[in-house]
Amino acid sequence: MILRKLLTNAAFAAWLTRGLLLILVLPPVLAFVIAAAAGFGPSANPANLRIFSWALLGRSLFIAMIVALLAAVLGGFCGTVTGRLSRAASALMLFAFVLPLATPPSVHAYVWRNVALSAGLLGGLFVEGGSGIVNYAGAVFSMVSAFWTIPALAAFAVSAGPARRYELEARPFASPSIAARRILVPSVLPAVAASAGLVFVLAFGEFGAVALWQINTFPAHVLSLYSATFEPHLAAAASLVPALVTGLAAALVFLVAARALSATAVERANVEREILWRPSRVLKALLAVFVLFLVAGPLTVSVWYAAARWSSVAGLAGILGELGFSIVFASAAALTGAAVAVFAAAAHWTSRGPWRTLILVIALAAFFLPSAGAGLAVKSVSQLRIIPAAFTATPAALVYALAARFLAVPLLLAALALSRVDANYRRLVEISGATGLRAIVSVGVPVAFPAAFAGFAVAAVLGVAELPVSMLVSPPGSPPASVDLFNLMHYARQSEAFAVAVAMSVGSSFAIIGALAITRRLWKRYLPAH
Amino acid sequence: MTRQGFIVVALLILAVIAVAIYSSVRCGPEVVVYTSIDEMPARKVLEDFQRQTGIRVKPLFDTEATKTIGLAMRVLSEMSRPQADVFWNNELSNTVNLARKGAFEAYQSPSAKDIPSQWKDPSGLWTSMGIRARVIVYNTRLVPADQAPTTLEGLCDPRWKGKVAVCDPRFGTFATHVAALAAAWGKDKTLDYFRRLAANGVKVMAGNSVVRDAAASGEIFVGLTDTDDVLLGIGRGMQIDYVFPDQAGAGQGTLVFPNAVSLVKGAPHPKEARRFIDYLLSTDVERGFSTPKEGWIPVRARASADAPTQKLSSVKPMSVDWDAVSQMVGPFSAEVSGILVK
Repeated sequence: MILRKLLTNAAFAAWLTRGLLLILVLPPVLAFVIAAAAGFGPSANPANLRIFSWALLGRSLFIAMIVALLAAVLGGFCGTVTGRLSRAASALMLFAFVLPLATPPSVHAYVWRNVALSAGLLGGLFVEGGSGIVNYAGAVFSMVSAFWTIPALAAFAVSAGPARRYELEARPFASPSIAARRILVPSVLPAVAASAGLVFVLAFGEFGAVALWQINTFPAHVLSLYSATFEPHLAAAASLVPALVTGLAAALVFLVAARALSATAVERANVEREILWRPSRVLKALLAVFVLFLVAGPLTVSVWYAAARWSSVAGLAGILGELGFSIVFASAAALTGAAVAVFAAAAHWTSRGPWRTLILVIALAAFFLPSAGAGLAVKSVSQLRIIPAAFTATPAALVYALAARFLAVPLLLAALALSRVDANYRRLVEISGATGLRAIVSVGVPVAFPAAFAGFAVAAVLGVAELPVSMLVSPPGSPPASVDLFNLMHYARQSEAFAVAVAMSVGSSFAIIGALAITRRLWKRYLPAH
Repeated sequence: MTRQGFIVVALLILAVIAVAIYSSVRCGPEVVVYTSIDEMPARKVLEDFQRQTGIRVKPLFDTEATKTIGLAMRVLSEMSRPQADVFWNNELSNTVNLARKGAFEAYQSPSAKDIPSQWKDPSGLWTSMGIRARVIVYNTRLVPADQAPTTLEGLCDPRWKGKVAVCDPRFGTFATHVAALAAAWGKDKTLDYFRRLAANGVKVMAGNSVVRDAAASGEIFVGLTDTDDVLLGIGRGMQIDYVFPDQAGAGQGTLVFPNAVSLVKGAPHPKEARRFIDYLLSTDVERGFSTPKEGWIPVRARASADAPTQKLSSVKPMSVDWDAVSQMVGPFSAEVSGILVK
């Protein structure tokens, strides 16, 4: 009887899920905030280090904006065209779009830097400070190469999905080309804009790719405060600026994405392709050129370098073992995050109250912290006496750190998925008598589950490539692959570095594609209309 | 996928995690070693120790030229509950820094009795078993040996304008070098030196090995790097050679710096840690590890009679106050970085 009361008590259910969320995210966020507060103290900067620089911030914003703009144009075009290809061609293109995302941005920079070096373009490349146009162009190009398929995937989703329905309705009144111009393009734009915002967030926070092109940006500056000056409090204080920028950008992305999603709440139109706009041969050729250059190009370069000195790759088995370790623990972290996220999003949807949005915002905070700051925050939590020693001596701390850091990904996706569900449906659930945990488990979780599962896949891939958190929190004796990859690149052991990069990107791509396929099946199962 | 399918996948993942956790915490003697020594030579030493003693070694390696957090920062952040037993650093300033903050416990290893006093802390907070030096590397095809610069000041000569390189002053041994110069010359003179070097078109590269490679390829003519990088390059047949700077007359001498091994205070496995330190500081290990092939030079003169060791043993070393260097290494390197890195 007591159990039943608990199961149907809305307040209990809400606080149980909030409690799970807060246990995961609040300790490191609080530890970071305390460290940042200490960085503002009167004696926090005895060496009078330069903490803030408008020039650095401006440069970082400028680079991120250019990257987002180029990625949006390129990705928007390629995704829209891909949405109107045959099923087989679309599937091939989708795989091509996933590949760059599964490769760490620093590997993209490494590929293009090597290409530029081989082409003799880099006379003054290594001059730190990036005064040369080659440095800026290389950094921007590398990040476009890493992120351009995010808008492409978003544009594809709309072009192959809801835009077909809108276009079909317009066809009796307009030719295919006019319908495409007036219907397809405006339908795709919000999704591309939202994903460009995401690219901006990622490019603004990226430090590996810009460092390879010897450009100093604000995130790189924050990282050097952490690592080169031993001033974690100052670094935490300084990183509040980029955290604020990414937080605002992410809020904007969320709003635009919600609008874009609401426009896609239509039934899929199963029509003959001939009725709708189809890309011309020129456009298809252009798409092929972009994909060959930006996807097949880096992959070919990587395989070529890996194969060029194949004999030296004999020691690769150990590194691949470490890659296996990284994948397992990043997956465990992503699974933990996705499980908490799906319950939290469902509770957020089924409950009301002033706290619910605030708690969701706190849950997202760990994603906006600098990676090193998040790692050190988890480290300081693990140093507390109440935490069992086994927590730090095993991969548990690493799983916890990665789960907290990337919780935002499944949480945002699950919350967005639930935001699409009609409010009347929620009232219907209440009227039917399903309240509390029962409503969360039987209604909210199934609806949010597919989105959380997609979030799991993305968070797992991000976790495998994560460097500073892994470096600070991974247990001795179990080195993460991201650290090895970084060292191999630094030591110029190119064949091994590229072999690891290829294994990482191809393996992760199959994982993402598999997860997306499962998500699609689940989506169909739970939401028959789609 | 069916519900049963999900359960099977979840159980598989849980099983793999359980096995990994079990392998992390399994019983038996073990020692946790944090090391910023290059992984390949360090791993050989660690594996030999494990084979000989049966004590399992759990290493944690650093990321080179850390664009991420270094091991020293990790040792510092773990001070209230250490995970490491031994910290084996590839240079000294960060070790001295950590020692001052109370991260280490004194240990006078019996193996270190015959190590010269200049290469060990009098109170036993650190001991060295290999040294390197900061040298000027040059391309032997482009620069005749008698025209290579012989002083740091010589790198500001307009002859080398745009053809001289250093690595990032915020990281690695160049950070130590910059701090050592500031400790010896004073801040103003040091900053002035780097301003003149910047005016001479110095290139800042990603690491010491990159400076060496650039010299070998002819992209630059001369550069500042470490002996281990040069010796490894020469061993691979690169057309480079090196000069110990500031040797003539009243020159200040060359910066010679040791690696350092320390026992972490509150180490979870102190007995095994002491045994590892004893092993590491033994003459046999020094002879095997500190070789030109590995890029290190032994601290005991009798450990090796090869040419680079003899060459270094005759070098006039720069007088260094390591305590002053350790206090300056972070903030001052960042200041120099502001000059070289716009």
